[in-house]
Amino acid sequence: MISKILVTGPFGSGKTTLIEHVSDEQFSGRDVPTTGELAQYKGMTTVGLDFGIMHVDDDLDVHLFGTPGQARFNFMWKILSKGALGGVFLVDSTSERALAEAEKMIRVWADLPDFPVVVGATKQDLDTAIDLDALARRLNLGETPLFAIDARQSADNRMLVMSLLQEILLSGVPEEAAETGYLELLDLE
Amino acid sequence: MISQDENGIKHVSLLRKVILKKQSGTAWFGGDGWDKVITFERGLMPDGTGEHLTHILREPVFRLGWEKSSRHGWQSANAVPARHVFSQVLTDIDMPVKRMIAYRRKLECLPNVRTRYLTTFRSDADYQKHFQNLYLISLGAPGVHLEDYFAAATDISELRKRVNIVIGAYCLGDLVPAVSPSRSRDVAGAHLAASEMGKVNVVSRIMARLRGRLDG
Repeated sequence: MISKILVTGPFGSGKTTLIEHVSDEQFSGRDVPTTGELAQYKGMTTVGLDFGIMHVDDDLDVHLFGTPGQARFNFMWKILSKGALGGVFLVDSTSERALAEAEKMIRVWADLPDFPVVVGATKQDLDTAIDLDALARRLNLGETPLFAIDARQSADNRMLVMSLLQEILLSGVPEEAAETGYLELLDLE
Repeated sequence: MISQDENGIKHVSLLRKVILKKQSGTAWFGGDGWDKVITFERGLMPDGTGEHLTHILREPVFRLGWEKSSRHGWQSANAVPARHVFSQVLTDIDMPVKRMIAYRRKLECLPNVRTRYLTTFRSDADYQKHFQNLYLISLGAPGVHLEDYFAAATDISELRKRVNIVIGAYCLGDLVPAVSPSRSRDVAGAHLAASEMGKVNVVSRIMARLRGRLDG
């Protein structure tokens, strides 16, 4: 069984790194020289797409599609989102440029019906990082899951993907259904 | 009136029940020379409840009770989500070691859990880190046993945070059983039931969902 999810976020947010570090099989999109003023941040950038396969278990593979980060490739987002169950959205917590871009980008995904998103904030360990609460307010995340992650760590990346799978499941479940459970276990006698 | 000994945590169960069932009424709690009352409206708490809640969680509670009410004891405009109150209280509370141990002992009796990753601890980076850790390990099959989560604390300060996180997560419904509660009335039973249930986890549920989509 295969499920498709998108890995998206502003230029330089760690999408390629995440797919590299979480995938059991990987195919990288073509890197080309970054153009315009963004060239000062990163010499090469992804066109086409990054693609990786994460084996969740014997019965389930997750296909990860990374979107290009530069705004000139935005037309590809909706194409890539076809058939996707949801998205992992990455943002660099230390970059004002990335945060401003993220504010615009995340609205695109928020407008898609039945498209759960989880957000990974990278570089949270740096002193210049915006804290999670402020980041959530700035991106208007509400109850959207927001994680502090290091895109170079497989465990962090895997958690993001698994949390998205969980969100996909919960998106179809009434809130009260998730709250029934073991009320009685420590319950009043 | 319900009574308990100094290590009892039925007050935590009462808070959970009122919040999750979105009840209206008055909960009262009594200890050695003190009484506190908290009114609820459809599971919401009035603004300014934090001080009472801090006291109830820090001190041994010997008596507690609940009176349901359909009328509003206070203005809805003052209602705040319990999640906000708990978030503030638990990240600020200075929990006495004896109380922390009492909570730990009882909470370890819960069966394996999964965690719902909500916003409770977002405002405190250190709490968020430990909550994220609980979430991460609970994603595996068959969830996480809280005894293991507590045991992984590296020092008393971290253990205190982990216990506080579980108290909040329990009361707010962020913890859900990884196995059927009826099959796991005690710790040994929980482990057995968890292994019997096999893949009651994200993978099996996502596959069922995908199959549903394909069949549909």
